[in-house]
Amino acid sequence: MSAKSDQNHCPYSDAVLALLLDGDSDTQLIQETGWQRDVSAADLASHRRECPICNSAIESARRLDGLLAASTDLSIDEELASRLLEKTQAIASTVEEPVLATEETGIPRRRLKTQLVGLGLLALGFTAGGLFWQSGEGIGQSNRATEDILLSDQLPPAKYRSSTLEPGMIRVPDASLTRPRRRTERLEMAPRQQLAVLRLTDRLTGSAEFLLELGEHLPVTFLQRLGLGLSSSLSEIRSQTARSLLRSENPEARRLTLASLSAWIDSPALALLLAEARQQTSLRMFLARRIAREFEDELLQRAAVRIGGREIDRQLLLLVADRPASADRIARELGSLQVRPEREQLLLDLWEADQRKNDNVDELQRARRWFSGLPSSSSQALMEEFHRSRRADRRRRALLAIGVCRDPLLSDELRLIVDGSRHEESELAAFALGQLPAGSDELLQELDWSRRPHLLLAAIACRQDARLARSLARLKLSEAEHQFLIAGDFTPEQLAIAAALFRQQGDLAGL
Amino acid sequence: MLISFALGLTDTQVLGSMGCCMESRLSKPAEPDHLSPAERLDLERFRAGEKDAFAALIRPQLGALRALARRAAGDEHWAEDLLQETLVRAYRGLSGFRGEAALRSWLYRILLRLLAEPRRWKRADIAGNLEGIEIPDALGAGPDEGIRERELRERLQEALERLSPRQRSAFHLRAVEGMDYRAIAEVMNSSSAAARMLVLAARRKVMERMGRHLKP
Repeated sequence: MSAKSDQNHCPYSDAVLALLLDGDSDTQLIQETGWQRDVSAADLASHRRECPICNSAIESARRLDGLLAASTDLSIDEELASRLLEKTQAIASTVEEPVLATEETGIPRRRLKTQLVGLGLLALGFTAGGLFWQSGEGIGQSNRATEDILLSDQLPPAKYRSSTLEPGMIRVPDASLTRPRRRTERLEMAPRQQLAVLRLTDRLTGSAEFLLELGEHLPVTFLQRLGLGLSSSLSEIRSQTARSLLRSENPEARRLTLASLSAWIDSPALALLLAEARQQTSLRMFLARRIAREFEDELLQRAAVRIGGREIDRQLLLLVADRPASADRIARELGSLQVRPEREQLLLDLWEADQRKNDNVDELQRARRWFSGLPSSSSQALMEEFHRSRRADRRRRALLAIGVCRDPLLSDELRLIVDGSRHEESELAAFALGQLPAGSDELLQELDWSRRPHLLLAAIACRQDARLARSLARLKLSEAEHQFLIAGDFTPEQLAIAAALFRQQGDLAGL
Repeated sequence: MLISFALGLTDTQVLGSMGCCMESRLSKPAEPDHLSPAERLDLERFRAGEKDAFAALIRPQLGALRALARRAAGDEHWAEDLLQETLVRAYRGLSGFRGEAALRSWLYRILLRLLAEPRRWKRADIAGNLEGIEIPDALGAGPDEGIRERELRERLQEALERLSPRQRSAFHLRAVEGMDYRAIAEVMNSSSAAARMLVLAARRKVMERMGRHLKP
């Protein structure tokens, strides 16, 4: 045990770890491994007592093993387990294949054969081409367009040649790109939509900018070879990759990007990506053309709805006019995002387009399906749309939509509309007030000042306020009318009836 | 006692490691059987044609098997493909399973053999029906998990991704399953020395990568 430990390394650390952490006291094995020929387990144990590096290594390794064990989920949910087992029986009972024999040793012959053939082809490629460097990954992609790529070590420029693209020159700003390490990462862009990226070094983290440039010009197989440094968050890498691919007009890159934009759930990363996509005229035009032609493609529709923009929104309207059945799907998709510019206008337009074809759809039900659950910014936008529009039917729809949004911040504006000059709008505003979750104090205070107190009372009754229920006994109402007002939770039509009942009472001051 | 003093080990560790060594030196029993009575019964039922016995036999192993598949494949979807193929192979080969190894080890062996030949289990990347499928955008832990712990896990994940699938698997078998080198070697179809090198190399690389984060 005379080997010296330098400051950070001890030649016995591995052996000490094997012995003390893994309980491996087989000295024969220690010697087989070739660390130290004449070291016994006892020697290692006594060395460990003296060596701070080995002690520290053991502590760290213990923590690491613990961390690994703690971060491993050994459970499996019942649904997945059942699915796997059922599928197993289904597959196994179809085509019989030989079981992988566990007794085999060494490299399987078939694999060896494939490797030899692959190597032969590679050598042939080098000899024949002479100039072009090929990544090993490209060999398996024989069904794709052939391509020859050379990225020279001497920077820049680098040449590339492809059968699908014109030869050209690109500048490669990082030498490590010229010889990427061959280890690939599978990056999940969408369900079953994976992108193989070569993992390079940390130096390339955040290098999306130049990947953008490359993505613009290069064929798909090269795109797949582009590497990204791993950062701590996978979703960050996915966003980076999607952003890099966003501007590419390469069909494969575009397909992946659209699949990502379509599949990702709402998040700040998606919002950023969508905002970026929205700014690209070529992408918007591409989508607008495609949804006009391929209206059955839901993935395409979904991505288009999420991105939006004038051209796309116009095509979506045409689509709904042609195929009313798609209206609900588009509206649902619009509602799935926190932020989507022009969403409220588009929803109102879709409503109008759909109404022309389907005038028997319950408007309140539709409003609930399309607008309930939208963020507060949406109800504000709807109120703006109400004020902006000069068309009575659009203003009416906007108010109905505001009603189902149940945004207490709009209470004051709604009270003003109740007192406005258009009776139908006043009723809808009262309906919207009746939907608000807040208490009824502010409405009760308003009763003395309002031009239409009967509408405010109907709104209060709509909220099923207990105080109003007690006062109703003083009114001249039939039992059925009494029960109707107590029940509350009116539709706009019912609210108009309730308001009429209050109005019949004449003086409402007693309430 | 003397051994434990000399090696700085607890008595349990000493007994454990001695057991391991002794076991290796003992000759094989005449009728080796690593199956529990319940497993043996299910196996017999399966052989008799009761295909439902497969689920009863395999279900308890699925969680651990999936954990290894995830670790080895390094990707959720591929792990599922790998696991599915492992189960299919196990189903087809179960009648010939003699119980000379534990059932779990046998399943691990199939899985790790398949791992080396991705052509056999990787499904094509076909665009599926996206309706109703949600992909979590943040794959990290929830907001209530401590920041430090989360960072540690992320770094661990990052470091593990830099290992080869075999190193990852060997390290998993050691640290998570608690297997000794000999058992790992059996599962991985290698020598014990090779298994040891895999585990140690994996551990060393991850420790280097995580650096100060593992210091107490």
